[in-house]
Amino acid sequence: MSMRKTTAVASAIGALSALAFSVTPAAAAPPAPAAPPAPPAPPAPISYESDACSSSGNGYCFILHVNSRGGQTWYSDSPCFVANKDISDHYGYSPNGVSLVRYVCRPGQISGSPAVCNLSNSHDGQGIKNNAASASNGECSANYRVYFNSGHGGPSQAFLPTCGDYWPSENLVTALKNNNASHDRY
Amino acid sequence: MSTATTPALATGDTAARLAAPSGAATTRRRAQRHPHDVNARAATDADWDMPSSHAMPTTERPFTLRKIQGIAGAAALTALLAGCGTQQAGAPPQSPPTSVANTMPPRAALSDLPTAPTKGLSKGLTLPLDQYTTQPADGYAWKVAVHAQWRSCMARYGFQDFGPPPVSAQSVTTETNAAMGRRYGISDLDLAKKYGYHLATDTKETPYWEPAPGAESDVFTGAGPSVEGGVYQGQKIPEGGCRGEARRMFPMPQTPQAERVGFRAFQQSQKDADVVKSIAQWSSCMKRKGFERNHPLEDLGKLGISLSSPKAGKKEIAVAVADVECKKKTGLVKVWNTEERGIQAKAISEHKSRLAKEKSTKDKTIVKVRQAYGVAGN
Repeated sequence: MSMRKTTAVASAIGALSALAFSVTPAAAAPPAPAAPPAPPAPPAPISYESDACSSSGNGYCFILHVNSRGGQTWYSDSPCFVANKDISDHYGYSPNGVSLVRYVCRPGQISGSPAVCNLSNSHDGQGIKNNAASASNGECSANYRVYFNSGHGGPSQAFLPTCGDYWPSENLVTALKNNNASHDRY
Repeated sequence: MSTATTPALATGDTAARLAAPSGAATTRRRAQRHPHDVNARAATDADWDMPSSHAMPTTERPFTLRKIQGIAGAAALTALLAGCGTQQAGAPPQSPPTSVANTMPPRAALSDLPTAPTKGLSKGLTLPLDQYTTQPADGYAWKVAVHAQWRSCMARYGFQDFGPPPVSAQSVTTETNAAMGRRYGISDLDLAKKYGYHLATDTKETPYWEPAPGAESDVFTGAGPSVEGGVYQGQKIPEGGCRGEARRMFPMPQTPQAERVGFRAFQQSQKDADVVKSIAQWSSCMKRKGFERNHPLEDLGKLGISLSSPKAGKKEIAVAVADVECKKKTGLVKVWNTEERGIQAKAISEHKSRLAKEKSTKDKTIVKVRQAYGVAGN
């Protein structure tokens, strides 16, 4: 299982990197004294997105956190990623086939809920794929499921809506913790 | 929505916050403990590997106030079940969900909603742990009951027609077909031909909705400029607002113990000899069709397929069609489900006591929710 996940991540990184880097086979290339070496390919422009939710102040979103919920509070205060839509791959996406947008967790994403995503900066900026430990559904009507695999495959854990309460936040079950790959909104 | 272009590194502010005394942070978190958790599920954060004495660290809280709240909450719930309502002292009479029945559209009978995928190779497949977890149909009924209670409560304070658009029963089919229908990877040939590995877009998505800011949100949540001392325009509102009232009536049905057992059983099933053999046969079938796939759930990136693209390309559809055809040829889905069923049944037997306790709590909530659904829907 872990090996497969590692391979999957490597594949994802490879595939996304291939969007920006041209690969030139070198083995069969004859000596070319007159040709100058090819300049290195420019790095893929990468941006980081922690907010994929249209709710004003993110008061009513689905949240993934890098840490487990508080043992006493049942809130999750660690940096988070917010959304109110399907995410097929928590790694990120390429909007144009060239640049790359990585999904990451940041603190302070939720206004008006000081106990949520706000008290800890630990793991600030880390990617969300295979790195989430808890989640809460702040939408009012839609369910969410977090899947073990990209593309909404494999077993999943469901989250019912709390309508802006973000309580109780739920820890991802052991096998899904740090193994989250996608989520779906129903 | 925003897209930052800053590096993913901790900032100076981050370091400053991390340097704050941990005691202060602990005090702050305790002060923000949710005030309406008296009827929360008997949840645990324990893994099955943990000894049972450590399995439920959060069910007994070391706070006297919490215990008092728990007793009060239990009394309130008992009163509610006896038909006495949960109104606060000084609050106006609480209307039962029947008060909104005439405003609700006709609803599907819960018995007509699917409990297994409705099409494809996974059609009709279930698992023993389905009885121990909150299924999509139960979640749907819970939302209908909660929304009806929101409307009833908010109407008492003058907010008519509050709440999201009615939840569609179609969402149950969509969720069931996605969750179980893709548990062993995609399994519907018709969808593969149309959408590849992407999610189907031919079903209406649950509309996004949120309370209006201002007085409506204040009464709904129980806090805000419009609410002073728990009173809105001379009327006392429930603790936690109408949202808090509904949550006490219909606690969220959650089953983390069963979820853990289910994930573990799935992991074990992948190592089962029959499943391994069937996956190998599927992989060979895929290779004969020109695609290198070692596992139905492996990442598709190495094939150049991006699931984040707006829709499936020709190659993705070709691979997806081959995927389902090979599953059909090898019987992989049925083999895998059969083995997983056996592993789950054994796990249920091994963890009978814990699962039965959690199931009992869940079932009580579901029974109450289904009763409310019947009242709210007709």
